[in-house]
Amino acid sequence: MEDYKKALGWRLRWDVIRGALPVLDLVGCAALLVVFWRYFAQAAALPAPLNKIDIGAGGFPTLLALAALLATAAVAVSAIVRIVDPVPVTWVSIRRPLYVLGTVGLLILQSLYFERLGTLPSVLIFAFLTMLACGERRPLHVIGVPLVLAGFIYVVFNLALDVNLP
Amino acid sequence: MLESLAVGFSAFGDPMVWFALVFGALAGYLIGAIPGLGPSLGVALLIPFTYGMDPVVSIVGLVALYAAAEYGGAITAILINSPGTAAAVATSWDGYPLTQQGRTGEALTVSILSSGAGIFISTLFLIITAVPLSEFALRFGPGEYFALALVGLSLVAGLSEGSPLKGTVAMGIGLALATIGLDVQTGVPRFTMGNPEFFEGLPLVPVLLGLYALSEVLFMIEDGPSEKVKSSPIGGLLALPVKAILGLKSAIVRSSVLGYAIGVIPGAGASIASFVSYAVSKRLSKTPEEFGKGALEGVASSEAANNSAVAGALAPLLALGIPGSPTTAIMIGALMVQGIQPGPLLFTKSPEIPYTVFASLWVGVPVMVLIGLAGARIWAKVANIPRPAIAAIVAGICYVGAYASHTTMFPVHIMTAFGVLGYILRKLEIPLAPIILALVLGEMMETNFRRALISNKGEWDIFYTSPMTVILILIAVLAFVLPGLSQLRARRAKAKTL
Repeated sequence: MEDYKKALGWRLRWDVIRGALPVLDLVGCAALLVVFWRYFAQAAALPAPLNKIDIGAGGFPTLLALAALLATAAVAVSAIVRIVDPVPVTWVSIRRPLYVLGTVGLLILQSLYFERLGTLPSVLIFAFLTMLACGERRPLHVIGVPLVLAGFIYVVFNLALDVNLP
Repeated sequence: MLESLAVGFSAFGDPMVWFALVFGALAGYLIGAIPGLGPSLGVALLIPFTYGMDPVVSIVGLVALYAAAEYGGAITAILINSPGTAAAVATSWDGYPLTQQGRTGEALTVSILSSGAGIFISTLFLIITAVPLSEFALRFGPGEYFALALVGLSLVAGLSEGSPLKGTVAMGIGLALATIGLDVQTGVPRFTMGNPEFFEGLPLVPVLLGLYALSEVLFMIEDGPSEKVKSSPIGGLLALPVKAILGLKSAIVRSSVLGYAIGVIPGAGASIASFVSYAVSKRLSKTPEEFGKGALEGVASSEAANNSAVAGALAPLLALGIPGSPTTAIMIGALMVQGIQPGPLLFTKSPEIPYTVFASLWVGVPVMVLIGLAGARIWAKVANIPRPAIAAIVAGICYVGAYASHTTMFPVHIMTAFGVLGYILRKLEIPLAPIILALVLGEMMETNFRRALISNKGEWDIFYTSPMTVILILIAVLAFVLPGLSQLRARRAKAKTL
């Protein structure tokens, strides 16, 4: 029983981050409980119905929040049961975590600068960087794919569908 | 009905409809043949291309993509033992051994013809059942409609991969997201954080693109550059004797019917359909020992069933407005973009839509078979498209598609946020399908819940006095409880063996 307990928690290596699923479930449940609790508080604060036979704007969300809080608590309990259970826990791994984190940053940057840069420059730059993050190093591929993609988007969205892109 | 069906077929007088059919089928084969990309992602990515298109043209393209993607998964399953979709796993059990025996052409021919036959037969069932189902649903009151939406959601949450509890939480997340925006009945802003851009609710297409497509990009980054896969040469396409194909007819018909029936159940989907049909065919086969070692019957059963499930999943979507699979939930999003609300009234208000879907499934069969057979060698090479290129293309289309949906930056921000959220949720094994379904059905569910109460003067007994509502709510409860109990039993049995 001690061995599996030692296996719980985190393992950090440069190329992979691993965490026990029940532990991650507990972290996720804590976050969800906060979110659903705030949702419940806001739903309860919504104006009461003018018509007494209606449940008002907040009625359905309040019921929903209560059900979601219960379900989240049940997931948390099941995670605790799995931690103390003799059945080995499932592990969740994130491979190439630095690249994943970098790409998340890239996606956020793209969403911030998409309009300012313009569609085609934005697609060219970020497609190039995404390919690099995914491990592509062949110069022809890294340059060719973004160019073809930008051309495809221009032809389809600008010319064929007449979408007004920045 | 025949007149309406003629209207559906008459849509094919428009060359654009043919273009959409062929383009959708080509895109579907491409997406299906790439391991990791499935019909849900394909349909989500195709939506941006349908902005401004005629609804009939866009729905034909989407349906063609859905059906072809389900088949495309079989190609890599047979050639390199790497199913392009989850529904093609059972195909690989016999398809790959056939390739190892040098019978690749036979396996591909059988799988393509079985898929075509599956779609053809199941479409017949779709026409026979969808129309009466929609007529029956017209008698539903708000209480029944609320219960029906609950059944759809609970089946999807309960039958989702992993824990039914997590499916329930996912359903809660989706329903909560659906309440963002102005309250439909009172106009009160809800959960908008004071931002007027949220008043119309969350934009559906960017949410779909984020959850299904952008999150997949992060998974591709994790996997890194793919290694080139060597596939066997394809010889003897269509070289299969007619007698051998005729010998598979009972397996194909049986699997098509089973596939359709399973596809109708929300949440069950093409994977379950192919596994069940494979198991049934093995049990009824005269040579069950050949299954798993290269039985053509196994390939035919799996492929006929998973393609029939496509038509099955379309039945509740068209007749009741309840999607039967994550892909059809995404398809609802595409229809909503076009201002079309699926459900029983669709058959009276816009009959050209459902009947064109029926017609396109039939017309699409020869097109799909032709593209599948003629392009088999090309589809086999699709699995070798470098993963970094796919990641860049998917991300690029996501951003342009999200922007084009409203030509503002708000949907782009939403898509990015849901891309990252989708990645985290998938890592935590929280299924995405119930979130999408709840997001799509949330407004309808709340509106009918409140209407039911108002029509019953605020009394809650409306939910337990109508027999239909009671039956539906019972099904919903069982859909949550039964999978949970069976999982608990399995875990206990596993603990006992340790």
